[in-house]
Order: sequence, then C-alpha cells, then structure tokens
Amino acid sequence: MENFLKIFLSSFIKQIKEFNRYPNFYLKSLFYTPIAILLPFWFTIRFFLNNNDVNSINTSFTLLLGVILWNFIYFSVIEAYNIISRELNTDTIYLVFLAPISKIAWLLGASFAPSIMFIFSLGIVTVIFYLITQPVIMINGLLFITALVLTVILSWSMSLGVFILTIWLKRIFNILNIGLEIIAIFVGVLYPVSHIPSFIRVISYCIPLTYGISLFRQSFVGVNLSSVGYEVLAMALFTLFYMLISIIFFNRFERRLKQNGSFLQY
Amino acid sequence: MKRVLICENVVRKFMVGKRENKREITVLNNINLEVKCGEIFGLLGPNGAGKTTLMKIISTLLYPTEGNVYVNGYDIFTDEKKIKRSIGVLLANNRSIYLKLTAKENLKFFCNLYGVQRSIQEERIDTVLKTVNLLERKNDYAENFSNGMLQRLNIARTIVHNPDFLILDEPSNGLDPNAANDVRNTIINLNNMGTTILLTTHNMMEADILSNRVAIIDKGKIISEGDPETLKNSLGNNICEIMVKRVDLENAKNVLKGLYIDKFNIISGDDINTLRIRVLNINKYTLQEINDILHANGIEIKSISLHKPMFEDVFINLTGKVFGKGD
Repeated sequence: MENFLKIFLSSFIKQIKEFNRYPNFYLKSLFYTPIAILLPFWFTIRFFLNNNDVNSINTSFTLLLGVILWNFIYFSVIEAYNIISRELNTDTIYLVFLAPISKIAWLLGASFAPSIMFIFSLGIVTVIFYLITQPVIMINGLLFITALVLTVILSWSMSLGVFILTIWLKRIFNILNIGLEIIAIFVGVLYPVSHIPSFIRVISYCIPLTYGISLFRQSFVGVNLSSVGYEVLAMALFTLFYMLISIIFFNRFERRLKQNGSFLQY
Repeated sequence: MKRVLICENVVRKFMVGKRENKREITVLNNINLEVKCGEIFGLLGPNGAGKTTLMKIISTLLYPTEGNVYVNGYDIFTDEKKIKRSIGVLLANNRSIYLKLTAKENLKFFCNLYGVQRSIQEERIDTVLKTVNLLERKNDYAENFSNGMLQRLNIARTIVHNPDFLILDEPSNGLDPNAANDVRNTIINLNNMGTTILLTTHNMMEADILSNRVAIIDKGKIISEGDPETLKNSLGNNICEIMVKRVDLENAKNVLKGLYIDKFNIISGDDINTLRIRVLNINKYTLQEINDILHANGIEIKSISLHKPMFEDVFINLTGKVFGKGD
C-alpha cells in the first residue's frame, strides 16, 4: 500500500510538471470551460427567466450543479485518454511497463492531476455563478464531500477502463466521446431521472454517476445525509463494483498482452 | 562464474495476418543463452532476426511461448518485479523519455518508480548524469536535446537505480558517428564499473569492439557463439580482398561464382568508382590464379591481397548473407 501511494504521488507530481509545459490544458480548464458553462446559464436567466424569481434561479443553479459534475467526469476521462495516448505516441508507455510498479497506481496518479485541475476550475464556475445569481442554498458539507470523493473514485474506474481500451484498440477518441454522450442521457444531467421512462431508468440506476449528480444537487439544498443513505450506499457499491471489475480486467489484459504480444509486437 | 541470464529452449511464436490469412510464425526457435557476470555479451543479427523479441522476453514485457528464462536467478514468470528492479532496459528505436520534463525531473521520476531512497536521489542523479556526460545539462528540457544526448539520457534512465544487469537493444542505432562513439564509451565505462551488459546490435564493428562474447542470431536461431577473436580466427588468415571498378562488379561476381566461390562481402573501395570484394574462401585457387581468371574475363583488377577476417566475414560465412543488404 505504501508503494502504491508513492507511485500514485510520483505520477501525480510528474503529470502536474508536464501540464506546466502544455499551456493548452490550462487554457481549456481555466478559460474555455468556465465560459462554455457559465454563459448559457447566465443568458438563460437574463433573457428567458425572471431575474428576481428565486425559484427560477434555484432551478438554474440545480441544473448547473449537474452540468458541473458531468463536466468533471467527462473532462477527467477524456484527459486520462489524452495522457495514455501521449504515452503511446511517444513510446514512454514502455517505461511504465518496464518499471517494477503498479500500473494502476501510475494511471490513477496521472489522471488525478487533471481531475484536481477540473475540480478547481469547476469550483470557480460554481462560485462565480453563485455570486452573480445569489441562489438560496444550504450546503451539507459532509454530503458534498461524500458525493465528490465517490465521483473522483468513479472517474478513476472509468479512466482504468479507458486505459485498457486505448492500449487494446489504440484510437478510441470517437467511441469514447459517443459513449460518454450516451451516458449523459441516462444520468440526468439536465433533467431529473425520475421523469425519464421507467425502462431507461433501470439503466440509469446501474450507473453510479446518476446517484453522484443527485447527491451533489441535494448537498446544496441542505438534505440530511441519513435521508439519502440508500443513494450513498448504492453509489459506493456500484463505484466499488466497477473499480473491482476494471482492476480484474486490467490484470487479465496485461497478462494477455504478454502472451499474445499484440501491444508489444515483435 | 555467476550467470546473470539463462535462456533455456526459448521459443516465441506470433499469430499474424487477418481471418483467413491468419498464420503462426516462429520468431525465436529454441534459443539457449547464458550471460556471465561482468561481461559485455553481444547479440548480433540482421533486422528481423528476433533480437528485440528476445530482449522483450528477458525484460519481462513478453512471455515466451515455450522455455524458461532466469534473470539474476529470478524466473520471469514468477518474479517479474524482482527482475525489473535488478535490470535496466533500453529498447531499440525507442528514444522514450518525457520530453516536457528536464533531465533531472525525468531521472527523479524514475528514481521514484524504482524505489531509490529520497535522501540519495540528488546524489544518484548527479552521478549518472556525470557518467553519461550530461551533468551540465541537467536542468534543460529533454525536448531541446539532440538524438545522441537523448540516447545518453535514456542510458542514464536505465542505470539510475543502479542495476547490475543492463539490456541495451541497438543503443547506437540511428546516431551520427560521434554520438554513437559517445554511447559506446558510456557502455565501456559502465562495464568497467562492474555492470553486466547484454547488447544487441546489427553493427559488426560495434559488436567486435565492445563484446567479450557474442552470439550470432539469424531467423530466430543462434547459429554461433564465442568470443569475437575466436570466431574471426576460425576463418583463418586468408580473406582475399579484390579491388575492382564499380562497373565490373557484377561480371566479377559471376566469374567467382563460376569458380564455386560464393561467399563474399562487398565493401567500399578507395574511391567512389571502386569496390572491394572480400572472398571468404578461395578454395583451391591461388591469388595469382584468381587474378589471371578475372583478367582473362576482361575485369580490371586494381589490387588483390590476403587479409585478416573482419567480424562481418564471420557472419557471411555462417549465414551466406551480406549484412544490411536485403536482410
């Protein structure tokens, strides 16, 4: 476990240092993303809703929270793909496979670096929106932290899946993008899951992000942790399940790579 | 003497082609190899001979289809992490280093990956950078390095955790002569410091200069093994070198084949218009007789003489192939 954390930390620090040399990343996370998210909401409130209607503002803010969490997952997974693609294109992926380390620790550390950046930038978006529109909120800190931590762990399990798929199929950006957009339909980013047809809802409730978005929203309206206990439990169990599945698949996949040589072809 | 590497009956097969054209090819066929502690062992072979596949198996990136491999006494199937900790690996055509980091940042990252203690990391990084002659560039970004410098930084990366066994796969490939020489000097320095080195190359001169022992691999099989001098001496001291005009080359080769002399190597002559034909075995003929026969066939001979064999001659004698031409 100590080694796992050391590799996680080294990989995280190395990734931060590399990001310092990729200005596009900062541009995207600190400039493009905030504007792309804030502007549509601000225009909606300004021109289509009543500026003084607390209910409208609160509803907009609730919607925004779903978008914020969705963007966090989306960008974290896409950035994990970018990291692995870069390692593949520059052949540095060999160095990871040659080292006596847990590849999972390396990947989680590397993908945590952009995640932290996105938490920071999306946090700023939320604060700016709050300051502009002044919605009535009551934060449950414990629930907020729980939802956020579980979502970060969820993003790791998704990144691990992306790691396997990228090494296996090489260029998966389009598949990944479409896949994420499809997930967005199910998890209730812009509408409550309770309002979608029941046969789709079954799928929604198997995706931990559905609970993540719901919990995240509820943490801003002062809902007690005990009253959403089953949602927290469901999210934790599903996240753990997907994480375990990803780790098992990854280990099997690595063994298979060595046996058939498809990644490290002669 | 302690054996650092033992390969026993190693076979590696790959599936190639798609669907109906899918077939199995054998890239390594029953390889048996031993590398002793403290030596530079050269694995020599043309492109596609199976060198890099063998390197990947030894460095635990691939499993053999059959056979066993032991590195530093550890089994590649069961002791993968112990092997990885005890070796340094540089793969062929792989200038892989994090270009957006400085030399120092790169090495620090690998110190962490290989578990080098934090308290000695700075000192270790300085030592290895000094070994590869890059100490004064330690705070420069790797993306600003030349190919030769990147290769030296890569070697520094392989030794940063102080391994006692280095696997270098074509370390001077693609470098200019000066950079290649720098890399060779680094290899000699490392060996002098006690590191055992397994070196693969298709550069005959490099194998000859650096290796204590060599194995020649062709089509996935080891066809000869020994120290370079013994292998060269096995050809005797009668390599016949005939210098002819470039335009007469094909004619000269046909005449020689007519005399059942078919193992020869072509190298450059004194100027652009001449070439040297190095004949490995002139059979029953004397120099004078060959000279006369070629002359009688209208071939102008600039010079003809006997020479000591080069390493390339050994390879041609064993395989019948000219190195680097159609291999």
